[in-house]
Amino acid sequence: MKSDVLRGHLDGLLLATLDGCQLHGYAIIEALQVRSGGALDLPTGTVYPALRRLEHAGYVHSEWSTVSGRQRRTYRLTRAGQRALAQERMAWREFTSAIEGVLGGGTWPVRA
Amino acid sequence: MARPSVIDGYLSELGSRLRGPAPVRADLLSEARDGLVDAAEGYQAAGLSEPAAQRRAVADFGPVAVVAREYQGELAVAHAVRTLRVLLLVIALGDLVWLVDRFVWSTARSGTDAPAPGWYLVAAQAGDMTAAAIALGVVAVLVGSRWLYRTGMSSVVVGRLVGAFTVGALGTYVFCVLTLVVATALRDLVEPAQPVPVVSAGVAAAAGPGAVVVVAWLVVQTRRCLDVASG
Repeated sequence: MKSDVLRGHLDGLLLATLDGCQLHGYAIIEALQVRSGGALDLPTGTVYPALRRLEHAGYVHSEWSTVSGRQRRTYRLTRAGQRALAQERMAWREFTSAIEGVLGGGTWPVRA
Repeated sequence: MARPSVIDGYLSELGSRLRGPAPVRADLLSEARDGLVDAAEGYQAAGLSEPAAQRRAVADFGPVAVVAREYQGELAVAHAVRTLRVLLLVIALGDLVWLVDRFVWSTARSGTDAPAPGWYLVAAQAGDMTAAAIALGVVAVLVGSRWLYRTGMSSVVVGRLVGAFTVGALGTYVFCVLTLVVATALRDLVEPAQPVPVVSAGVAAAAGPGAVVVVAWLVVQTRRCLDVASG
């Protein structure tokens, strides 16, 4: 999938990946690739600044912690991040529902 | 653990393109190294040789120019925010020194001085009001930058906006300080100064060199804000 298409959804994707867990940067990238079946292909180096941006927005909190014997910066959702994720999900469902209605190939409603 | 020769080269090139606060820069590069080493180890575990695994990890990370642009936005914001916090402190300390000096002066020379000329009072009040407006603006930007991020704005754009405000705020404050200094010198030329109370002279002697250093620092930071924000 093209990285410029993904970029518009990167914030929502990162928030969804952190939903209910605390992960370090590379684990987040791995989770994104696994969940998308390898379709999400963007420069991994752009994920780290995006995580910092979400932290500045107050959506994630980061801290250095020991993971597998190494010091890693790990991220977790804040309450504001959980609310933002819920809004992203709702907006995405509305968007896909509207697009599906047009592109889905079903029968067109009969005009009264 | 993977031998970091290819990764080191990549990080060295990335680091050479980044300008901004050293602790933030080191933190960003440290996290990038972790990610690259993790990726290289993953590729090695999947069967690639060590050099090939590192090259693949570096390729996945992205072209240095693209990644550096994103990182530079982060550094521009960090630099501007740090400078704005110091500016806020400088304005507060400047006001404190001024209040102490004014109190000492009025206590020592109550009723003996001729009132300051009208044009000087206007200049002084304009300086005070401008400094207060700058302080309020700084607080608004420090609080409001979170809102900017929540609009989905990239760090590059936020960095340029906050950097531009910082340059404007610093420039205006330096102008205010210099205007007040020139106005005071002109007032003393027009109306020769009365003997200064000893304690007040002490406050001025202590604060004067410090003020020169602070103004010089602000000028240097204004220049750096432009450099860092332009990336």
